[in-house]
Amino acid sequence: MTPPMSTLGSLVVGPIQFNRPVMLILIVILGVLSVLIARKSLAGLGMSSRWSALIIRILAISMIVGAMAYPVYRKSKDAVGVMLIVDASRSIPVASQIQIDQYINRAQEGSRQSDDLLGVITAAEGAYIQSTPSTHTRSVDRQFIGGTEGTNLAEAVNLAIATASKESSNRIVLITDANETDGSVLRAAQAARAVGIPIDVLAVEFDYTEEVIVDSVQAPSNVRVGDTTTVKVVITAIKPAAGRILLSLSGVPIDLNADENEIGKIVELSKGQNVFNVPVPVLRRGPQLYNAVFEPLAVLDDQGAAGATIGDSIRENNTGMAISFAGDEGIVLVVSESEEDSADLLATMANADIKAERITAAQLPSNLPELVSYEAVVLVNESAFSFSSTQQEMLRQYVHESGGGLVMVGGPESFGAGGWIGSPLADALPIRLDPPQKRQMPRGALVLVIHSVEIPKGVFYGKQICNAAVDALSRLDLVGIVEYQGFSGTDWVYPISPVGDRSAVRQSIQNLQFGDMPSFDPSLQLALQGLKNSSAGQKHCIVISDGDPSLSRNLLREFKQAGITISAVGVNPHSPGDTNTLRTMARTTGGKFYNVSNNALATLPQIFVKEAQTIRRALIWEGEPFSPAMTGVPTETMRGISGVPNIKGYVVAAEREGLALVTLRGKENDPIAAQWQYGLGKVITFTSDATTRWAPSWVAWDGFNQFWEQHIRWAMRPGGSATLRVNTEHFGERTRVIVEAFTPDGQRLEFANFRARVATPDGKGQIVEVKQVGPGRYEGDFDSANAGAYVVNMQYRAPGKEGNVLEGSAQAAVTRPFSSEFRSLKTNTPLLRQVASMTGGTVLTSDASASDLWRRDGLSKPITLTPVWLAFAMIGIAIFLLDVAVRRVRISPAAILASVRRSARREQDKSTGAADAMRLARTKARSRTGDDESRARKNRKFEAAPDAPAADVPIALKGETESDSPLAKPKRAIKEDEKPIDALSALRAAKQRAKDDMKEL
Amino acid sequence: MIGFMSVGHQNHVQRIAYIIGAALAAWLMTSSAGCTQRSTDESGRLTNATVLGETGTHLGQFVYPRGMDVFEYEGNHYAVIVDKTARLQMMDLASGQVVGAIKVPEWDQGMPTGLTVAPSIIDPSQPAVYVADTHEHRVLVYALPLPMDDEPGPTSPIFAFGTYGQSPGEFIYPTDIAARTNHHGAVEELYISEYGGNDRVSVFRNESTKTKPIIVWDRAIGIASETVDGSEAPDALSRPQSIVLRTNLAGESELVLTDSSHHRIGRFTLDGELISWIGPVLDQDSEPMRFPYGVTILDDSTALITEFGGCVVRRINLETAEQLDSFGTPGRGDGELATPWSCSVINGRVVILDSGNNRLQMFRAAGINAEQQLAIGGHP
Repeated sequence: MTPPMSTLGSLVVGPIQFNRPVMLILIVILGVLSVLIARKSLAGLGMSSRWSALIIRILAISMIVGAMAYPVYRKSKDAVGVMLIVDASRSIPVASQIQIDQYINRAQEGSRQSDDLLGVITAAEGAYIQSTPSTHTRSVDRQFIGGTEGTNLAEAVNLAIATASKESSNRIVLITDANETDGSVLRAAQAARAVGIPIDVLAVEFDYTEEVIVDSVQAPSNVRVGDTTTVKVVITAIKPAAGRILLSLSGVPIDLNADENEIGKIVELSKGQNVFNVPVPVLRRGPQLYNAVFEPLAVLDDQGAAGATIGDSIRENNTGMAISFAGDEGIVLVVSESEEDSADLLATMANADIKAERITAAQLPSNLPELVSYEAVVLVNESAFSFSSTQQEMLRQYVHESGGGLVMVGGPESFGAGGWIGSPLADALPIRLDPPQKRQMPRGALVLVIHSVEIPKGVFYGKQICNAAVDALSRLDLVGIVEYQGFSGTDWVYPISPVGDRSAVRQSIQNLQFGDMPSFDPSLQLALQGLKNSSAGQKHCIVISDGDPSLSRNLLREFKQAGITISAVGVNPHSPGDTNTLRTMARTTGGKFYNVSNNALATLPQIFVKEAQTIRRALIWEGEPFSPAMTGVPTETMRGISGVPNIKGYVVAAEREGLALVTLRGKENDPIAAQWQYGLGKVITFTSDATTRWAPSWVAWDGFNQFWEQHIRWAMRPGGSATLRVNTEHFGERTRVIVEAFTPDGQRLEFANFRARVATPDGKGQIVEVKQVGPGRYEGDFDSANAGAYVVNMQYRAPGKEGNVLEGSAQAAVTRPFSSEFRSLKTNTPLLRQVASMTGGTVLTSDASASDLWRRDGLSKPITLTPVWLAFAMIGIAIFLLDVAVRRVRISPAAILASVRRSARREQDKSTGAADAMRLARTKARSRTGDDESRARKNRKFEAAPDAPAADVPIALKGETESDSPLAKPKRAIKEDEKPIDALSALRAAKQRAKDDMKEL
Repeated sequence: MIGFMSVGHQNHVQRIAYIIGAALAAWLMTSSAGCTQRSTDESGRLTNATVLGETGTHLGQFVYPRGMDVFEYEGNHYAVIVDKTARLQMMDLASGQVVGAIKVPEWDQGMPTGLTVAPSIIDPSQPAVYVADTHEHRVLVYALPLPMDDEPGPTSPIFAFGTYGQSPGEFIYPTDIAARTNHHGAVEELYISEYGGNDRVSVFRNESTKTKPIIVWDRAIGIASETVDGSEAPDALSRPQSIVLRTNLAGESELVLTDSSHHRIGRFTLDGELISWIGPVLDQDSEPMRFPYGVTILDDSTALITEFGGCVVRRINLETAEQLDSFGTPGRGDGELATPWSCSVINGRVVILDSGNNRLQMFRAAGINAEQQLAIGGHP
């Protein structure tokens, strides 16, 4: 037996672990008590019986007390579970990825046993499980691996720990180049060590010996139109090489070689860093986005002669970008789908000498640096559907991080009626786009009918589009979601109810299962009934499906009769028949049909926003013209304006609490004009319009120009009165901003107070602390580890002469053209060694046959604990019951043998005649009931003659009295008339005699 | 049998050992007393079901399997399963090991949703698996046993037929196949169910030679629901997901199908005449049927109906529409079912394709066997 050992608060004896070992003390206490009690209670027994009874009694007590100590059966598992983490990032050459797979195929066989488990996780920008630990897994089968332009090994290790089987000893095998771009694998390794999982490592060895990297492209942050600026291209080559440099300005190639018939320039690179200066004339204002590309042609030998084609395998690091701002005076960007909507505003700005450009939403700059060159953006009657969510977020950043101004002018497609509710830009507005809660308005009802989205990341997109649709609704609108759930059939995931604060409906969306419904009918039937019973002005249903469930046309007619429209969104329909089903659904009910292919999935949320918008027309107020009330708040925007003309329409919105100022109010105090500072920028909303549609009196009003000029000028980014030179430089994964500031008269600007923010590629933005480090010199820095464009906006205030305040702003943009993933040129072997040694793992070699992933050494076997208290208790109770019997009953192998013989004899008896059998039976019956004279010799208990010798034959059912016991009573003789006549009577008589004996005691 | 003896002649250690042994025996008897031979517990959960397969893309793992049939080959019992990885896996039901695996040739449009094991239309002695390649609008036929490949790739069938369309003999979404064989085991007719607008069962005559497969469209059974000016014809079908041929109590052959979106079971003569509809409501004591997907005929001419929506398998008397028994309850645990697609019976064991749980569950139930169905094909 294994010696007892203790774990924390438990006692282990052999395979049994007692989780409440303190209870075992009761065995000793009760054991002693039993002995003491036995001295009296068992005194009537013979020595042997007494000891037997005592031992059994103590055994019973031990088992019952053992049960109270909560025993569990410990069983160790021999299976080994290997979690393979395979680096799938782009830094691993494709050839190496194939080698990794081949290595795993060979290495995983090793000493693998049938119950050993293999799981596979890929690590790139994120970690994804390819196979959960399973005995079936035999190879690496890559499914969805996510983005590959990054390596997050820590996430993969944490995932491996989380998914490791509890039924096996576990090992993590990490196959990577260990060039992390996110997270810390060392920290994750500490977690693995804490749970006792060793990490074996296999370094994916590679060495880019002929790599060329465009380190950076540098250009001045600010230039002037007409200047010639110098763009500096820094290229690092591992080996001397020749290649072609191509440079473009905002996508237009710059001719670097005017003499020859090609645009690029052939250059020779020496080993190490090479710098090329390219003079570029600045011909137009605005942002200047320079893009440099190096095309490798050949390696060069020591004599400079071109040799073989260069093995530059990472092409992503052959590009670089830089941005300059060529500015003069501020320009306002007017976004309007029709000239008519913005004509009067543009005329006003022209009169006020504000330069403006009108574009449509489709022409909006696609990147923030370009947008930043505008001082303000005016959206005129623009719908949210016209902008992608990225563009909406960019507009928000433009205001918050870059200090640009935003003026949103109303119209039927604008604000809440234009689907802006819940959009990223809604946060930037000084009004709430939801109508006030107290406002009694007709509302819309929308039901989403969800089918399984059989596309990559289908669940992700499914939830995203549901959220987008719900976000576009106002808080008063009704929304419901129906889906087919495998277990419970078709049901409301979210019964039709007001959107409210969206938390409940969001939770329901999170719980969607996207079941594969066989038929549309039950879902549409529910939606129809729900919408019919709802009190809403406009009722609409959106169905998302691949179109293969069956559909009842009669049901569609019921929708039509109820005036409820269905828009059908077909995601990757399998056949023309499916497309036709969905088209029929939309056409019959008056909705729209959208056919979304796999490569247009990003448009799904926009479709849902647009669809949700169909019930948002209720937010438009149109009626008898009235003059909006001036709130009298003294603002720059309303300076000199004592009253405004009538309007006859606007989009209903609610006042926003906080620092927002409402300057004009409409019906029931709805905000018409409002303004506030949002981050570094300013925002104005005007919920009526600037045309004759809703404000005909305004266009003819002589204060029209003054009103709009003051509003637009207030929103515009402040111009600078000082001269700033802004430069940026990278150091590590951070970027430093250096500002040299001068007063208008050329003196260095001292004691300026800078507020600066940087808009980052992930859309989050961060504050930059810009501090004075020398005379007129200010510096700040920020994290720029991710690839993409970073736009820094700085606003300053500084004391000028005679108590004046100098203030203004400046921008700078820097780019990280490619991810750090593509800067890795060598395997980070030391890091891997550290991971292995920290966790007790080993460093594997590339020889697969020498790598046994299933070796048992170094692994701690898992113990499974099975509660066995019930077994203890039952055995204890059984023994306890037998404790009573042991003093009355004797078990004898000889008796068993005799019984078997009797049975055999009975078999023989069957061959005798019936009469003989009857006689024999009667004789036996007599024998059993005591009629037989020999009974007196067989049953001493009931035998009167005390001197009769004990017979070694089975006879009795009850206990006995030892003849040698000092307390034994003289045995009574059985009288003739007391003899029982059958077995039952004999038992009763015996019981009565036993009672009599006890009384006599 | 236990004997008794008088005091004083027994070895104490032996006595104690006997007592403890008796106690253990008593405990074992009492602890095992609760075990019954029923295949389900009170909630309907299958007791003592054997689980084969799990979620995943490796051999022996499934991703939403949507077609399964069982067969005997050289004395062993196998299941063929097709899932959404477009793989057909042949699994040994005794060990759970996959002994054959291939992939269908194309799956860009979608994957198969049904299959049947029956004799080849060319060679009656050659077992074959007929795969309803639903989203490619055709039927594929592979010889059995399937070849084994650790990483199965696209494999051409021994023959395939079907093309997209609504005309007779064309398919939109074929779902299942049944084969009618003669006394020699040769296939005489193929029945193919479909949905997606053609909701019907097409019947093809087998006129194959020994070297060339030839099938000729003969007739159709059923009509797509609501295609007749929006009205509902008596034999209107909505997604017939599974079909099987049956010899009824009168000894006549008939076609049984699951009219799944109408939540009912249909019985048709082989000429297409409607005999009866069964369901959705069977009796007051049981839940109405919800999306019956699979049907298997037992030796006593009763049927096992696999309900995709109800997550249960019911045994039904097709003559009286009476529910005789039910197996399974919704859930993810052992003995529970999630959107089961079909079931089959082999060697007295019911094999359920527990699609939503990506596995097979196999159990024995009293009185269930399906040996006679070998005679008419469909589920040999």
